[in-house]
Amino acid sequence: MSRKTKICAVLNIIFLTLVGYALWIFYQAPKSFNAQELIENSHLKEKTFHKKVEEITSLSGLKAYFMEDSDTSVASLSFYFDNAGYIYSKEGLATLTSEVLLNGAGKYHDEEFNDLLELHGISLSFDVSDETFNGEISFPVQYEKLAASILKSVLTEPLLEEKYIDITKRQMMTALQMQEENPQKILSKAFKKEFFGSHPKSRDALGSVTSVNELSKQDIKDFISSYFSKNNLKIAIAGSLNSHNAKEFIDEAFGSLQNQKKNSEEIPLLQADYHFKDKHIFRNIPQIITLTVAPATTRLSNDFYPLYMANEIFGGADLTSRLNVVAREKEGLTYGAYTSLNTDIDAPRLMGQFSTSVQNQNQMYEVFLQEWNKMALGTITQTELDEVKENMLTSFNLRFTSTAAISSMLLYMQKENLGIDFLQKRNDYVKSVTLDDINRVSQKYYKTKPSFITIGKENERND
Amino acid sequence: MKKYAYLFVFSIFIALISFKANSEIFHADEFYLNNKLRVIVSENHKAPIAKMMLFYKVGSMDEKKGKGGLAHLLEHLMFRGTSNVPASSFNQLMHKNGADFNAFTSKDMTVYHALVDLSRLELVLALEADRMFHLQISDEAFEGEQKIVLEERKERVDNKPKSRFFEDVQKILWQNTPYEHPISGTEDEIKNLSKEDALEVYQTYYTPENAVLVVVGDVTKEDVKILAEKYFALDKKTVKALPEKRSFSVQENGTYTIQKEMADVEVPTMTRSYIIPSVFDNPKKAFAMEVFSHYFGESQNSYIKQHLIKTNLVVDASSSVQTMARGSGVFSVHFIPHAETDIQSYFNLLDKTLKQALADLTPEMIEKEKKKMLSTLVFVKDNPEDEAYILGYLATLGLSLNEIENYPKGIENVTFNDVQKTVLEMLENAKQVTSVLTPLREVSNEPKN
Repeated sequence: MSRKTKICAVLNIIFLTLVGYALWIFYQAPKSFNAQELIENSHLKEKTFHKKVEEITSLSGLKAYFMEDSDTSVASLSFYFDNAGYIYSKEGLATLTSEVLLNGAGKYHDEEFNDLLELHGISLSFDVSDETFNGEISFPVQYEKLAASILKSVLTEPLLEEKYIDITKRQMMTALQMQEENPQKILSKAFKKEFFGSHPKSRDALGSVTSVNELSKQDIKDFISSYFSKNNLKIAIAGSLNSHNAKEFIDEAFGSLQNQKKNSEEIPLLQADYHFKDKHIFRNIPQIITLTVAPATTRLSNDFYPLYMANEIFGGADLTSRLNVVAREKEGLTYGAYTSLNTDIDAPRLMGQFSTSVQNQNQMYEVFLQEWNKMALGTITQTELDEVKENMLTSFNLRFTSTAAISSMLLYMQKENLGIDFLQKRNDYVKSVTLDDINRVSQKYYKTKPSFITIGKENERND
Repeated sequence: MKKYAYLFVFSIFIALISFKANSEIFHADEFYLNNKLRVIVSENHKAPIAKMMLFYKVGSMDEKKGKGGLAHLLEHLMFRGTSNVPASSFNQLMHKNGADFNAFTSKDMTVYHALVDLSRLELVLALEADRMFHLQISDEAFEGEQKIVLEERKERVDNKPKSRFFEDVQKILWQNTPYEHPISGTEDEIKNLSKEDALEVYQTYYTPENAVLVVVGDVTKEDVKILAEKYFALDKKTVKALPEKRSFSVQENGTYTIQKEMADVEVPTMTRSYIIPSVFDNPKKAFAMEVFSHYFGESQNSYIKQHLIKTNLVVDASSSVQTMARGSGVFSVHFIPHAETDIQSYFNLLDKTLKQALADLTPEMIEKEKKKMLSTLVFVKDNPEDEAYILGYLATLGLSLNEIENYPKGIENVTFNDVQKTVLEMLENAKQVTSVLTPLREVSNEPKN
């Protein structure tokens, strides 16, 4: 073999080895995960949710938002009485009423009453918020008539036996004492005092041990006769019944309520204190828990969607928010730092919460402020905006999981005055937000330094 | 990994006890891939969405001594990147595509789940499959998550006296069984875990044959079959033989009391727990206990409500039961006594009430209770999230689809005699632990905070 041939052979071998090596590398290298391609070629395509929201009016003139759904065999009705929440009456009274209503009505004493519900799979519950007294009833659709008559009975002829009033009062007082075992609860109660001052919104829904102790059967009767009426009632109904049956249900359940709510005491104008002096509560626990508050905007304002998205980017979007990427993922400082947008009409606010070991508190605080200040500079990128929009558009249908979730959503639409066509318009609202909008809003709201309130051992922060 | 991270999976029973007898509940389908992954599909066409849940049969009960918290830490690390989807891309992709996703670890299992728009189900399945086969744990991610689970433990347990006490009680109740350690692990254990420990659990347990995939939503069995074959059918993973099946039943029958005063406790509480047969130990007894607990302390008109709450002997009381587990079952009675009363008197009251409840029981009451338990069956089919959870949970414990569909029969077949016999046996022979937590009595001269 000539030298030349030899060299050729060697070169050949080297060449083939290199090619082989390159191929090997190529096959070993992770095949990049192409999410976009995967979604575009997805076996299951995007579908529109077709069920529609209607406004129905019953024979007696009661209106409700309604969604018919023949793909289930249950139905849910959600409702609230407006201006009947815990700020409008004696402390703890709305909550006491909400509990005692479930202890018998009409011809059914407590025991028969609860048997009737349980044997037919009917669930009935009440709760209160600051502004509203809320109820929800869910039932297998074949017991529609029974469910309607039970609800009517509860709202118009509850038994309110002294025995159950006493039991419930004791349980509420115990629950209030138990709140003092939970640092998170102590913190949020203290926050309400700082933020709402002496306004009734500073109350706890349960009231206080002293106030509950003083409540009487007459108070409950007064509460019901003042607040349960047609003109402050909002109704939503969803599930496997047609509009005719839905109307009948509404008339049966609510038709015998009085027309007009009685005038309640004037509630003083709320002047929430967004700038209260930072406050610390001592508690011998291994972590410091922090709550923050800053001004925000209301649900129907033009700033709502941009600010909602800005909050998502800052701290609302669980693991992927700016705050969690730095504080949790990069630094391991906290199990989670979260922020939310509360659109309370009198006191719209951006709230934040995080907890961390005492020795990490300074760093955690710095991270929070540093990320907050970045927002104030209008630093949201097009990519961040696109991602949050994509999230809001693709998660749109997740609100339709259960019938009860749907009826409570239909009620929320009324509470916030979103309009009957909200579901058709919502995605356009999301799409219309521009980078300029979101950065303008981000600069506007994050320029205010939040107020802080903390609980834990001594707070070593020095500023 | 956030909200539910080490929640005791009790909630299932509320849903389970609502099944109607003699009919299939879910009308679900199942199939196995070649690599033995079990896949369960149930159709729910109410909305164009789907719930995906992937259950691994590994929980804190499978941890080796001193390695407490490992299953939970691995659950966290599953969100920190694979060779194909590095670092936090998983979270970003899931979030961008609108998935409502999370994970949790219990004593029995580790569960990953997402609720998604139908058009993103394939993406979510691809990502879930990817992390079954290709997890990579960087040093940075390991150290980060170790810190995070330490913070999580402080937030959930150490900040709250009741949660700390609960761990002490569990230790005694489950002494010398794989359930005795807290799911989170102790602080020292967490600090001593290594990346290699986590990888070992991953290699051993995160295999197709040790998992159950559940999809419930606007899909057909065929849809899910195509997608599961496409993404989960890989068998490249070096599968070690699974360790021997770990389950246990407690034979011990001692009586224990644990009493503690703690600072920052405001309200005294008392709990008595009995170790009872699980559905695998003895299905007949397990179902009998479920019916008894409903009658005794779960129903709106429970025996306790009639005889203890209405008569003002206690402020509040209830009972709970857990028979669907890899280990033994447990039945508990919870009391909130009046603060000013001598706590010892409640021991007698508890004994007396249980015995009297059994003496007062009639066959009619049993029938009524069973009817109540089965009446809300239809609601299970109304929510794909509940349905996926129940299907996957029971399948992971090892029930066949047929057994799951016919679960209500178990309740329906319970007789008066079964309940009497089972409860009596429990009162006489079962291991029981009574725990009492009371406020710290103030010592004079010391200022109270």
